[in-house]
Amino acid sequence: MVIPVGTIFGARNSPSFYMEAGEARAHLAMHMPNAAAIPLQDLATQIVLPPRPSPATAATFAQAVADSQHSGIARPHGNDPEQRLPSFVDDSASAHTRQHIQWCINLLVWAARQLFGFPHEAPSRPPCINPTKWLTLVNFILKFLGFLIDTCRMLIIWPLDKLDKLAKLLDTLSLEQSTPAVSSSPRQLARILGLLRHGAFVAPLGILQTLQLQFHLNDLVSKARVTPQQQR
Amino acid sequence: MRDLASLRATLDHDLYNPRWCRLIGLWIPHDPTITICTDAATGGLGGWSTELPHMWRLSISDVQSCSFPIFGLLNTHNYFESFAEHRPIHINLLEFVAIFLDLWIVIRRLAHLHHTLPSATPHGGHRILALADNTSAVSWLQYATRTKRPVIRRLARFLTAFLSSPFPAQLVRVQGRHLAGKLNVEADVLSRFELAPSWESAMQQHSVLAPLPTCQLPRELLSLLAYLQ
Repeated sequence: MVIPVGTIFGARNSPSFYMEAGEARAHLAMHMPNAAAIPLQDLATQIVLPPRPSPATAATFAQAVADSQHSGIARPHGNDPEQRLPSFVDDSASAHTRQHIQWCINLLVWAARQLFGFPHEAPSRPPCINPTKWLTLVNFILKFLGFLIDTCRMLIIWPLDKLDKLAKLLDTLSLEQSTPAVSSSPRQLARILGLLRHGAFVAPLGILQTLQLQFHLNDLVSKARVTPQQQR
Repeated sequence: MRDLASLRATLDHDLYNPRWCRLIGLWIPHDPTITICTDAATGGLGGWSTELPHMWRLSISDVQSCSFPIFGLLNTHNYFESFAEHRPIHINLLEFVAIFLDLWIVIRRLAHLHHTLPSATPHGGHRILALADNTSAVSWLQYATRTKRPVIRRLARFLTAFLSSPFPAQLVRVQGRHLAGKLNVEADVLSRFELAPSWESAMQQHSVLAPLPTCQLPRELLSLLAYLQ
């Protein structure tokens, strides 16, 4: 008998219903009538907004364009709260305009507690949103699945630490290649390949280079595969 | 290894390095800003678009004159010719080449527009939708690995390389979608010289083609594609 003792979000061994609770929470928050009447949750009161952008910074903001597939928030500045319901990026991430973000976060916290229980209902159980892990600074840049998302410039960015890591691996490889006595190992190339493959999500250049590196790696592996007869 | 050195040169300490970030708008489904329609037949290739007005066509003899191998490529689905060198090129490959050629025309013009008038580039970038009535060619447009045939793989990688160059990579998203053959009538007329032997007859049959300027393709491009075969 095999008992899974750990799992990765969305992995093959995670239960098929792993997103149902998240979807239910999102649906509740997005379609709650009279949402403005919901009392402000403690976590929502703690949030801190970043400084307002200067006019020069605001001028660099990317413009979102509505079309038939993305109509956007119907009336983000309207008085009707039902027209300002939060839009979910994920079951744990959301975005809204500056003036409505606190209200939006309040609704997200309330919806989670509505589904999984309010802290005061079962004090012995850990709360569904851990206050010690609650980041109070609301930011327009967030890290999600290893990428930075800049909601002002509407960009997905490969983080600098990943760029640095790739640069170091390439420098090591270059140094080894320039030394005749030292050769690169397939494992080393595979590490570069894996990292580059991750970055290729935002850099189409990386797709091409991962293909080329893969061919180089295949060559190295095929050359390194020496049969026992050849060894003799 | 030379490519890795050029890759290393792009790894500077700039968070907004355009090579390592991409517009969110290019990742999520959006309405296309430019739609292109292409078709290929055993007698020729053709394509057109109204958003970036153009139309083009090539007869199979034009293609052949650029050393493009029309016969001799392995076509395992052709059971009528016993010798490989007598088997004509597979239609799927021609369809893919037609998509490639139209994308080349469109992206080259978009790059020219972008460099002369950057403000003309729409917010969120250009989203090109390539419509073709061949599901294999459309899938190769997205994933080069969907075929084991070296010819297709080389072409698909060449297309990836073309789309990875700085302008299209940062501001253009290309998507493919299958269009039923009976709806692809304009491109059908352009690719079939027996249906429309001249530009005039093609325009008479489909009024949507009438205002579109015709495009000529450079021999160098066709020869380059022929070299990949």
